[in-house]
Amino acid sequence: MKEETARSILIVDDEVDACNNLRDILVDLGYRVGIARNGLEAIRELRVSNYDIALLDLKMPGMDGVSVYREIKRIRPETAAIVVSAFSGSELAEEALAEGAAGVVAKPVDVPALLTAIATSLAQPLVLVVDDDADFCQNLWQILNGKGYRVALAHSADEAHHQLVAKSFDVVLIDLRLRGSETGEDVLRIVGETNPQARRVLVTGFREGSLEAIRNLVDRGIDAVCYKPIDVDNLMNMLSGRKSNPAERVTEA
Amino acid sequence: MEELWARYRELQDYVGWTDEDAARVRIAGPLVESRLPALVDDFYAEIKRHPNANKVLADEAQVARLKVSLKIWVEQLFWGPYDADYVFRRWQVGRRHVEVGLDHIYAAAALSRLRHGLVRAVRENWPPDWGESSLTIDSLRTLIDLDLTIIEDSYALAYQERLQRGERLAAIGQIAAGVAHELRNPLNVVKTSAYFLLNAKSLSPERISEHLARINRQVNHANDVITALSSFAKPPAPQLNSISVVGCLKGALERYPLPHGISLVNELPDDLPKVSADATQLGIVFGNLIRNACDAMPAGGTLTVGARSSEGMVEVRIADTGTGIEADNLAKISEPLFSTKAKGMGLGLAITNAILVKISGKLQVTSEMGRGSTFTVRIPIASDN
Repeated sequence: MKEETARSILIVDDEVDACNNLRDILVDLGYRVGIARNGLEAIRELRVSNYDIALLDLKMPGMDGVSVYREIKRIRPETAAIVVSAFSGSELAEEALAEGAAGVVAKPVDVPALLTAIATSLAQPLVLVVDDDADFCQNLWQILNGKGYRVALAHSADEAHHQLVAKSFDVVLIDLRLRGSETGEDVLRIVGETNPQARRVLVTGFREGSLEAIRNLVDRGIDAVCYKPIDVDNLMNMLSGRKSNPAERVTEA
Repeated sequence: MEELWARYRELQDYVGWTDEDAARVRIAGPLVESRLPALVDDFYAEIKRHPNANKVLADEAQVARLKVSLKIWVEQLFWGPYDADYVFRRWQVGRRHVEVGLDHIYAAAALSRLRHGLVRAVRENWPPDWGESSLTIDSLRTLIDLDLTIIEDSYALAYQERLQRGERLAAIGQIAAGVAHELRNPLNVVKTSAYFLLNAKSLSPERISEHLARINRQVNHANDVITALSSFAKPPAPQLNSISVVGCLKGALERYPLPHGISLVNELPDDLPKVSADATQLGIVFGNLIRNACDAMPAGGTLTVGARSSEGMVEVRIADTGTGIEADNLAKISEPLFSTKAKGMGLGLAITNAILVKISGKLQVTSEMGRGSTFTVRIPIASDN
């Protein structure tokens, strides 16, 4: 089992004093804090370390904050971004929000407001989407990000394994048939070992003929089954556990 | 108003307007009266013919009001008196056109038609037993010329004022945006340090002095921003002395140590004549150029500093091997508030230029994308060398 680590925040700002001040404040509150002075440093840091949140300055030499966020979404889509900028009302800030950033905090920073934004992001349920279809993953990322979830992506059972070992997820969305030798069943087993608390939602295109297999999976811990093409409202209910009787859902199908 | 009246009197003298002219025009007044409504209608028909002019006329009620004004204008034209109030009313016409956004060419075209109409009315209704009509028509034309001069003057002045007001507002907006960013960053550090000092659970003496030092540093930075802005808006007069360019450059290089990864190539000769310049201001010039050169080389490079004397000037060359300046931007780099950088207000080269102009110096730049830029500063050689 993984050990519970401190919540982690990466500060990305080219102003040394600004970085150090936020670090002092956040470390004092018990967060694990990293600092990156530009976009490249931020990306390098995120490649080697998990962060729950990135605080992004917008105007920096080299990459601007929005470009950094686009890169972050590629390598760590589960990292929430909060823009911290003197240009809080700018087009760039709007762009960051359109890309899925969780919020914008104006400089000079109102620290209580920033801490609230951080707490709000951290309180968002963390979802792992395990599907080998990259486009489907991206779409789900956008939908779930917009509905207030933080979303990690895994394109194989192996990637899912890495994620499940590193973090505690509230929900795991699993495609039944991953390509290659790996199957949704492998992932389901790993979830059971590493994240027993997580809701398990099966996403599948199967309908006819697979009822037996699905019943089987339900017996082994699947909480809900969602058929492709997914109905967003339906999926939301399943993620929050509002329709909680999986056996009933299977019979309905 | 008095000034305007004096100007009108001056114009009257210039065109030779006399009381006799006034008397002639007054006598002709009754000759146009019957045609006046048709002429006024024609005036607005002419204006409405142009879509750009028509769009400033809100509705028929407005046009009706304007027709009454125009009728009064023509009546005053014939009956006077040609006093200060008369001139002021003409003056208001031009200003009013600017206010409603009526381009002067349409008003001028319509007035030209009106003038033809008035002259024709006088000529055609002229009683045969009155003798020659030409003197009266000349007087009428002179009077309308005077009217038009005042209207055109007031239009031009009001238009200019409006333009300047717009430019001023745009400039204020640009400055506000630049200042906002440059000051919010130091304020941000001050504010977050204050928060930490007030709220931290654990505070060591070292931590406290660290944060106080940060606050101090950032207050100085904010002050520098304001100083740069005000010294640009009102540059202090240079204190000219015979000074050594090399000494000044070395001072600037000490104040702005080169970042890691940038090496210096010193091509400064020992035997340069002294120049006539303000040592502090020239230090700012070199400092700005060195900083720009370094900013252009984020991945490192070579800064070459050279100088030579040529044609009564000392030429200082500051060359980098950086990103280069896009051709489109080359003409704009000395404009105040123009910047391609993430940091700064875009005043560096504008200040540099302003300083050099005051000491009869010059700034030149050549640049090649991907290869780097070379800034050449020319400063007059001091006379006491």
